[in-house]
Amino acid sequence: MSEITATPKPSAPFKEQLIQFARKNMGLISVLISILAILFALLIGAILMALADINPWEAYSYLIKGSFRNRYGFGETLTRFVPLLFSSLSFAVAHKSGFFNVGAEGQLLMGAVGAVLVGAYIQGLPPVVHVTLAILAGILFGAVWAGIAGLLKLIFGSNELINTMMMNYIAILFVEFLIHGPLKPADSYLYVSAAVLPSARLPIILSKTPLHLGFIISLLVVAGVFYLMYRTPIGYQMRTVGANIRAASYAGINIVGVTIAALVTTGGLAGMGGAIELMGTQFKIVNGFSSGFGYDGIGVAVMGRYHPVGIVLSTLLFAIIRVGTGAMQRGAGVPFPLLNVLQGLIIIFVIASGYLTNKLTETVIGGRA
Amino acid sequence: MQVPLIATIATWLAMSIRMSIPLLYPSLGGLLSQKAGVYNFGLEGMMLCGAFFGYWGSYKTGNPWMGLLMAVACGALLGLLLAFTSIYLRVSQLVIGLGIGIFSLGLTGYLFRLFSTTSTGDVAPAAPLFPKVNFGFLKEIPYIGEILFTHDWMVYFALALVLVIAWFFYRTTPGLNFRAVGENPQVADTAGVNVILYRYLAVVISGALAGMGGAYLTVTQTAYFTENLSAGRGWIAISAIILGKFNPWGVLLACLLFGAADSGQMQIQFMNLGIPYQFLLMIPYIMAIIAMTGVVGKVRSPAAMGKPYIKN
Repeated sequence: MSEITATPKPSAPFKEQLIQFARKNMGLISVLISILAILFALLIGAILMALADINPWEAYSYLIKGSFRNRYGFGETLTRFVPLLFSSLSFAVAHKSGFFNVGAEGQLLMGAVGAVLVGAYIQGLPPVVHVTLAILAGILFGAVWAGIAGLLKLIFGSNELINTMMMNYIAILFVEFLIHGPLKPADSYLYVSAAVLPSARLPIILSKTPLHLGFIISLLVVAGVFYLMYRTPIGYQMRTVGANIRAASYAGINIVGVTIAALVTTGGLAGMGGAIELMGTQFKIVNGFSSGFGYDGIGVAVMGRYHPVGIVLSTLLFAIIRVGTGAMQRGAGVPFPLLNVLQGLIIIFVIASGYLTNKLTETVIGGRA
Repeated sequence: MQVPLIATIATWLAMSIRMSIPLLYPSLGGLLSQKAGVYNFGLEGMMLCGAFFGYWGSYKTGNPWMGLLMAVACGALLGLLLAFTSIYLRVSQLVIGLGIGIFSLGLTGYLFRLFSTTSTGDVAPAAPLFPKVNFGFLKEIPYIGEILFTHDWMVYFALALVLVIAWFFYRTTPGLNFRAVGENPQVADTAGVNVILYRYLAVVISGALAGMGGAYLTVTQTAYFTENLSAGRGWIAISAIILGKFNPWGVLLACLLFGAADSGQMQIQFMNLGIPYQFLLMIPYIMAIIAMTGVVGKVRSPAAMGKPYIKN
């Protein structure tokens, strides 16, 4: 802190000191920028509401009340935290490894399909085994779904952003097909899948709330992903490929192998998120099972600067906003898509602020393509 | 059975042309932007905004032209945002495109829900549409008339745009400069071309065209808006650019191919062959994936695409 207590002179040395200070406190600056981005987004949201004759103060009071008024809201927020965390980790791991996986939405859905196959149709397993197997099935399905887009990139060099986006639309249609036919219970007149058996459901960990064991699992997974990315050779290789594929190639890193490892991780994480959402909250797949959890992950990862710690914090924030927007809809009649308005604006502001942080760190600037 | 078959094919071709237009507008927009060296991955969002504001403007004023104007303005504005962030701020063009997509999904959904609850009843009202161009006797030519002369002006305008863009790129000096900006901005700059200006223009026009493509969906095709109406067309458009090898004529052919597949799957749905409709609806998305696997041979994209230009 000595830098700022030094005599402030409006001269070049002071400016230099300020830049030095900023460079040493990039984490703090990132947090400040994120807070500003949220405030900007909320401000524009307020303007949108004012234009529609909705009182923004009243509406935003519901945003806060949604999560903090009572025990249930708090539990609901932490329940929403879980799928958001998985999809943002999925996006972040892919981004760190040098590709854009915007397919968490589809991978999450396929993960839920894998989990429902094991969780609803295999009987007579002890709960621990059943839950583990169902989650593994979710990971497998998610990884395969991401793998298809990834292999197309490896083999043909085709753009994975578009491929994963297309795979989302395909997954949504495929799941719609499944719940209209093969997975629909014979006695059901609704378009739903069979429900997972009690032995494959995740227990509630906070009574009188929907909060389930998946929350604990998700925190363990964050720690695991952090360890994988920053403390293991394969994680180091993944990040090297992501930072500079040519340098990685010269360094003798097996690009294909590392990319496949990254694909399995990113798809597996999204699939696991879908499996846990199914086994902890919804128990069966319906139309709109995901309601955009996969796309939410993009904003969370961007705001969390692709770092596990940042991601945990921004996931919590996005979960509060998500639950709060629901409360705003019920309480003040604000249409729910305001959630996406806020998220989109947060992404745009945080990304645009990259200009500033790039200037400060003097890193190589520019859009990664 | 001879005659009905030909009639079916004629209907299918006419429909294919109509279905290709909402892809052609954003594809041409994306082509302009990418030729100038900037990824426009916000096409989907710009299209969705165009679709909503086209519908809303057309309904409010009773005039489809006003709807179209609003759609174009809205697309251009989002284009300006993308241009500013990717050209001036030089931040990730892909992420900003995604941000615009999520923002537009929210904005259109938000406004549409407000609009449809305040308007009469639960069902949103229909907006006035552009009439079909009256070609008089030409329309009466068997089959050919149906295929070529039963559309509204936006169809012919899109086709004319292909011609104009091809002429501009390959027959004019500004067009040459334009391509140079996307291939080798340093050289273009040395030769006195204003790289930054060209890029701004390209991205803003790109947004305007995407907005037009969205408006086409609501002010000529459906007269209604639904949430996420564009359904990934902005993304498919990017794969159509690759399938068309970054050439305006190629892009036209690619869009016609997507349009033909789309109208084909719709006709198969009508035939009730027992194929689950979900698999038929997947066809455009699967085609988009196949289009990018290099089925047309090696595709060379503009060399400086996605790289911000930093003047030394």
